[in-house]
Amino acid sequence: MPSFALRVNGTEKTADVAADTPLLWVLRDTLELTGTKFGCGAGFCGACSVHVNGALTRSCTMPVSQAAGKNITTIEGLGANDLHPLQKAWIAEDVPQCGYCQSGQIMAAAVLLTKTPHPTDAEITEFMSANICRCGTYDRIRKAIHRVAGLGGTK
Amino acid sequence: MTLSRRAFLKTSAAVGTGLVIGFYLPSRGLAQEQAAFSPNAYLTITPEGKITIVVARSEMGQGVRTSLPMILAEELEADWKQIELVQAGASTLFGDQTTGGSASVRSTWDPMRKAGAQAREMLISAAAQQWSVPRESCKADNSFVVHSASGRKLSYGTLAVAAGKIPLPDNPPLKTGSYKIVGKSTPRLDTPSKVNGSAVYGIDFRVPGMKYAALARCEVIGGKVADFDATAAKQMPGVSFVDKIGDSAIAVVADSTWNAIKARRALMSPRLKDARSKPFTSCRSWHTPPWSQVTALHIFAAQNVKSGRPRRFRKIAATQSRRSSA
Repeated sequence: MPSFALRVNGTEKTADVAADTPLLWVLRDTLELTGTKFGCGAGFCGACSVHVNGALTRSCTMPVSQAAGKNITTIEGLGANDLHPLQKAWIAEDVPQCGYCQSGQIMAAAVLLTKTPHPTDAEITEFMSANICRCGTYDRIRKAIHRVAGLGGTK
Repeated sequence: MTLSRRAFLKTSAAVGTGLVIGFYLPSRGLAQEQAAFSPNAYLTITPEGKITIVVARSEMGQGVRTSLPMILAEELEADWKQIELVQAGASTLFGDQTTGGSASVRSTWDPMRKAGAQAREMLISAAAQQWSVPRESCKADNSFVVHSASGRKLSYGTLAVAAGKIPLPDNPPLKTGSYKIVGKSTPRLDTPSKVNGSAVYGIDFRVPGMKYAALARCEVIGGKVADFDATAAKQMPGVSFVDKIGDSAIAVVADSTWNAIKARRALMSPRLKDARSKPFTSCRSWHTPPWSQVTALHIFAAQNVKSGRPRRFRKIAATQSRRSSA
């Protein structure tokens, strides 16, 4: 079994798994970081979104062999010592219902705000439309993103 | 396991260090009435003042992990900020935990109110005994029992152990209005856990040495397994079981999620290639109705995934419509 070195949420980790194992299952099963969710398994729904070297990535379709040696951030590590401003905004707007997609929503929103610190409604819709929420919390997601943007971005 | 209310209270008193109230769902029919009652949920107040309310309904985004504690806390006259929730475990102690039909609030409204009111009355009695004053001169307010005449007050935590020795009132008075918690827009208790990845969903549950299953299911309603070849799947790494589950699915069990998924694909993959021209993943392995757009969508998803890239539904829809018009 090959061994893969990953830097997850700032910590060096090793996974002894088959090379085609999606990053998602390494995070969830091997490293026990279950905040990243399995939704469709085909890169469509966004529940499994993480950051790989800062880029928004569907961990369900990225083999661990491609993630090896890279910086991976999951919902558990998004806020360094405190909650990320987006996580605080999510609480303030009481965004989640079932919450299953929200790790992915927040990871996506974090990349959006890095690229576009003050997004318009249309820019939020365009960027976030690849993350699906069956509860339909989109309106509160938009409010929460605006709340952070109004604070002057995420950094 | 059957457990009478008194037995439950006795057990709770033996292991707990505070006031524990058990209560019951109303029976839903004569058949069930004959079965023993068992507590549906319960309340714990520790001497430290922590108030824990057990929710014996499944949270699916409908908010029961907040709305049900609100009902109990209202009658308890509790300080909402002190409330913590615990999800009921898989125990007969909590009775039928079926969640559905928009029934959770309706079916637990009365027992939750009664449980809160019982606890409140017991806490008031405990305070009145301690102060040697008539209990009618005391009232509960915001997790304290207050004796207005003398200005004295005792917290629920302070009273918890003494309250546990008060006989359980069968018919405590219930509020008829002036709600402080019920009916108010209230932030969900479990939201913080849903934004930092700590909330435990069914898929997140782990037990030591557990196995993982993946199901191969027909992609349309009504499809049944006709035959399948498990040879390749059984030879995949970590696989311990491949067989039919009922009429409508084939289960693959392995030592990790990915090994289970891969073995399921080994079960299906020779047939996936035929799917564009044949009705389903395999016309041999399923008895099914004819071709549907659902299948087109699934196959497109399987064949057009690039590593880690977000996909968008409008592209599928476009492909689907092209295929439909072809």
